[in-house]
Amino acid sequence: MTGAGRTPFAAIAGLGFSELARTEIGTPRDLAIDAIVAATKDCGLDLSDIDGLMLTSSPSAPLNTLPLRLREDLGMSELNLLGNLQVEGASVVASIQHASLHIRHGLADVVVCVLADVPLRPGKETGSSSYNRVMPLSGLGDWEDAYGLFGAAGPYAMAAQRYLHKYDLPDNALGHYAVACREWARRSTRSMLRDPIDLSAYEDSKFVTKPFRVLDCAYPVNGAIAVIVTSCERAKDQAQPPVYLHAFAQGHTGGGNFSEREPELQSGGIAASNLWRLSGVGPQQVEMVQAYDAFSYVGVITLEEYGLVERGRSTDFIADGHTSPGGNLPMNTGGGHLSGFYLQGMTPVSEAVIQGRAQGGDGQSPRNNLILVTGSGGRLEYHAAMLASPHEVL
Amino acid sequence: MLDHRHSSFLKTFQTFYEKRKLCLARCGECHEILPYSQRLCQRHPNSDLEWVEASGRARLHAFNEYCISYSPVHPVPYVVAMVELEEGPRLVSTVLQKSGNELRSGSELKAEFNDAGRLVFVPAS
Repeated sequence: MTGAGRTPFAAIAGLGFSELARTEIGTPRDLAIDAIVAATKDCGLDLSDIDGLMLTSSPSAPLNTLPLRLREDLGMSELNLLGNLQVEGASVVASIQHASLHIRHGLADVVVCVLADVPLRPGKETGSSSYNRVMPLSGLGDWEDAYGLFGAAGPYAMAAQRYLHKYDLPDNALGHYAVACREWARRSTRSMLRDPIDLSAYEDSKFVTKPFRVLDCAYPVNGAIAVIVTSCERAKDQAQPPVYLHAFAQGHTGGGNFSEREPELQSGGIAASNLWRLSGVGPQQVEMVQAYDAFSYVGVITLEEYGLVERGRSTDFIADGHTSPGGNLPMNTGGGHLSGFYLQGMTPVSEAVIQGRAQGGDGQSPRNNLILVTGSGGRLEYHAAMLASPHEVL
Repeated sequence: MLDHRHSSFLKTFQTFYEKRKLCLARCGECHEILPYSQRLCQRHPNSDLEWVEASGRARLHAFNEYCISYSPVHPVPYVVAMVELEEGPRLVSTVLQKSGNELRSGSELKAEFNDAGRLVFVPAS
């Protein structure tokens, strides 16, 4: 592999989950505590070893659902790094990037990054009512309210329609992605949706907003996940095999609503070109993808933005089984956000850690040597990515 | 004149809109049209903006159709569209379909204000 001689920024030493459920299991603050404690137990570090805390909550959640006071809940009295970083769906990867850079430069030693979200309150909040805020696509304040452009689903459906039109793809093309993710979910112990589906089940699934059906959309849960990031040296001394973080990149678009631009088709492209330029590796070396897929379309377009598949060819590529179990580019190996659980970018990070450690059980893929992990937010406007590997040297 | 550039942009747009005029902002110096999300010309950030009325000619860029209802104000099914004005900027609106006509990206549209004073688009032909 190229990229030889570069050393990783840091490594993920610990991974912890709270309970994940569709029922009321606690507040984000409660669940974050559980996930952080579980992450320390996972790798054998003590809470007193942690000197950095990075918080991520959903941009749809009320402010301060995950307050800086969480540090006090955990008895953290002397932190060297603390923050709540908000770039919507890119936040988790951006937080891990932030932590890793601090560790690499000696400003922090052991940083825990946590995401907690409680979108579901039975009888009060459902998945669609939690995520029904209107997204300002035009740039004219609350302009979209009058047209009823609700949820993330509407704006993303518009992007998917543009994609299907541009490449003259059939109405069911995105269904291949949902089917492939479900194949992975069936092999995972944590995934929420495990009944097998095929393309006809996809076609029978109810439309939410055309072209999206229910099976194109993420499956929300209540829960929290934490990862512990530390130096490569320290990670080697812990109970779990380290997952090394070799490269990070971000890319953010704006003002894309102008003729000749296709904002729906190229938003991750900035992050992708930064990632390849900075890492010294290229798309041909990526063996596995753990992508932020709020909707099927986001997974599909990620493959193209990173040059893993030619423009317009992803749905054929997926239909041919390349991203499914046994394929040469395993993708979203716990079922992703669609069939696994939607924890806003921490889902792909957790899947990368599990696969990087070779702890995927029935869903473990041998193609785990270089894992692309992405975070994507806004309407494909905010993007962050990292390259993870079980190997310290690529 | 350059005070509160974000707020005054929205206020000026709205003032024209209430008079049933769809307007565009452009740089007072180079006259380049700005996207609706932008508040200044990057090359001439200290120039005043000029407002001009859009021709109303447009193309359908992308659209989606809601099939489940999020609000009683918007009974389903209904279409939300990203429309591209011939001057360049895109904005969200809706397209009133003629029966039997399928919406298609790239089709020609023209702007209208409906009885409620809201901007909508109809097929140009």
